[in-house]
Amino acid sequence: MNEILDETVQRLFSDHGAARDADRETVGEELWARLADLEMTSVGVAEADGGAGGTSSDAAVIVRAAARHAAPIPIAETLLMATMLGVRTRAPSAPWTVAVRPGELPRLHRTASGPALSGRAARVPWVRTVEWVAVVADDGDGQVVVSVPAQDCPIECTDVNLAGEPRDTLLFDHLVLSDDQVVGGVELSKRALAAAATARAVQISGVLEEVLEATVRYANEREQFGGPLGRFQAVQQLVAELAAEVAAARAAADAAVVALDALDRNDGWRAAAAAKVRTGRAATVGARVAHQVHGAMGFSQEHGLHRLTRRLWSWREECGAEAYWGAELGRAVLSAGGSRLWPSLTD
Amino acid sequence: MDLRESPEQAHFRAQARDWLGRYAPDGALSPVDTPEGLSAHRDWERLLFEGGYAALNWPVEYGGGGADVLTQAVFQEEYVRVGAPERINRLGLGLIGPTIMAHGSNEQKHRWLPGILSSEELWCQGFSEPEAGSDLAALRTRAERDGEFFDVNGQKTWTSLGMFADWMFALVRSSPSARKHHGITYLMIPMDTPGIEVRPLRQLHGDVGFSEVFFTDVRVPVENVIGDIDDGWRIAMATLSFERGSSLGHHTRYSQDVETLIGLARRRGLDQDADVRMAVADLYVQAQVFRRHMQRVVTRQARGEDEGFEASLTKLFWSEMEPRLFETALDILGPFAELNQEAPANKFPGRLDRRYWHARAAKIFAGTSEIQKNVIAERLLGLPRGA
Repeated sequence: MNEILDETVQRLFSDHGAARDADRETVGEELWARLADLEMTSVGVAEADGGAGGTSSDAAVIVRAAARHAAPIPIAETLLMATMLGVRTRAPSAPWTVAVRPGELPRLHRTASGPALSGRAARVPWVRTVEWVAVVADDGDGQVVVSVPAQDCPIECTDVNLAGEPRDTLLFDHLVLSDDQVVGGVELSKRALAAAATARAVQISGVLEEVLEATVRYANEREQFGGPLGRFQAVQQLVAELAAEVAAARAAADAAVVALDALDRNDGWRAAAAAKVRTGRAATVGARVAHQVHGAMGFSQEHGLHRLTRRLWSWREECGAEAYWGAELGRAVLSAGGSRLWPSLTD
Repeated sequence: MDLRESPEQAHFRAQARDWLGRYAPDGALSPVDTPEGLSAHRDWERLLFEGGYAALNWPVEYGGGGADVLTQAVFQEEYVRVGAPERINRLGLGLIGPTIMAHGSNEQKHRWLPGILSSEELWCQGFSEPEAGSDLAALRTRAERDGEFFDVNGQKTWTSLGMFADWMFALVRSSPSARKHHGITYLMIPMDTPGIEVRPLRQLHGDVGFSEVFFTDVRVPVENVIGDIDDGWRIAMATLSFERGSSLGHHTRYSQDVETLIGLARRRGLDQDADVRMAVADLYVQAQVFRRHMQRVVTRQARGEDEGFEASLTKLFWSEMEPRLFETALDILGPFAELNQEAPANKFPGRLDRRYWHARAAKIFAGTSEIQKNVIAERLLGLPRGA
């Protein structure tokens, strides 16, 4: 089933020419509308709740394809991040984003007029594009998820990441909400972060596959010194290194997607952490090799390789970079003790 | 190897520092690809010329400073230290000027050298083509002989400063030949000749530092040939050998960048972080190594011991090292790297995003790392030529 889904969604993106036209302002809207027509934007919400149903694995297929084509849409945020917070039923096919990062959370105060949200949410993806923002907040007793309409989110500072994707900072100042916009849960920020790390890991692994294909194509087509670049051993070894990274990244990301269904387990976040670390490393190597093989051509605006490599460089930093997740994993593994290592890997 | 400066060098350094302190502009000039920026950079070149600092590397008989490479290095260090502007006639002063001195006729020297020296005439380099990058000898731009002229047809790419240069020194194919290194002519082309079209070549970070130049039936006098017709490859190799002098101040810039990075780490409260400290320490060590390496290289050059292939070592070294510095800078800034906006808190000289991209391009421009490794292996280490 996944293969058919994969083919369908890949064709949708390549027919649209998303990567080629990514600088046009309306590309994102057009793509979202097409995906919605095929009910792909409501994957992850049960059919009984007005969604298309489907598993995390189905969601990952769509997110990966979007990443391969550098599609400027909040599909990862919607299908892989917001879904894991259980908020999407209020708008099953709408674009969502999630505001969570390690460190300070905004605060929710219970007031006479209702729950009120205050505090800063930094560098939230796609706020200007989505309909809903799921904000993980601290209410004094624990953590909650607050569903805020995007138009109610006060933007303190607009910004972008290295790939030009919007990353705005929100500053809530006593935004009064209704009770039905607030949902409690256990360790929500950890859950949200793990889902976010998984989303970026899937995206990175998707882009890397496209980068590998493009690099092999270039090495076969570009001729210097009387033949294709790819016949030089130095080039072959570079590309082989890239291929190995792509394989490892894919394996790590796939494992994290499977583990999304077990996020409530005590160690449920570990596969996400490992995937983010591994894909981060692969992104660094992959971008370096791709640009080296593509030479000067790959540095021009026109060529378009940068649409892929900028995403690699941006996404490896976001939702916890290697240092953050590496430290988390290291702490967990060390505190469990040596005898727990093998069982923790194989259970 | 003597690491201490001679009294003459120390004196020169003090003078240069004083002059630069007084005349170098405060802050960055507008970018060269704007009218006001181009004008400001030209004014700066004129100031340098009037101060006697425009061409320290040129022999005195041609109006230069006649300075040895050690003194040139001192000036470059001071120049970088004060953050003085980009040298828009670096190709004229650094490459084609010395080439004309070595291979041009007396008439050609009189014709071109004064304009280069004063930077009243700006020069660009027409070597690379879409099908001739690393394999420069595969160049295809044709020059067909017609009496006292050549008719030039073809295309050059990655032409630095092409948008405003007055002249191009170009390699063109003047004869078909079984061996591609033969049949190449070194030709000086006025950029206002009819039939030349210059198009900006935008790089992935949005900057337009380069151009594509298209030639359609461009008539160039045969007297604009440097050396002999069909003997241009040999002269081109001389030009490339002059590129050696171009990175004399680089280690100073690198050290400044490491200092900036340390400041960033402190402001972010990351100076106690073990990973950051390791990364910064590594970069600091590299900066010291780079400085010592340059002192050693320059000393050897001054003694005439340098064969030129060591430049490949130097280039490989810093081009592999610089991206790591900017990677570390990005790590330190984390997802707060406001790369596309001038956020004062995260300010990095020359804008972090542009510096980052430029560092990434370093392993490709001026000879890819793969080519440099080949040169090191074959010419420096004497390993057998590749199959």
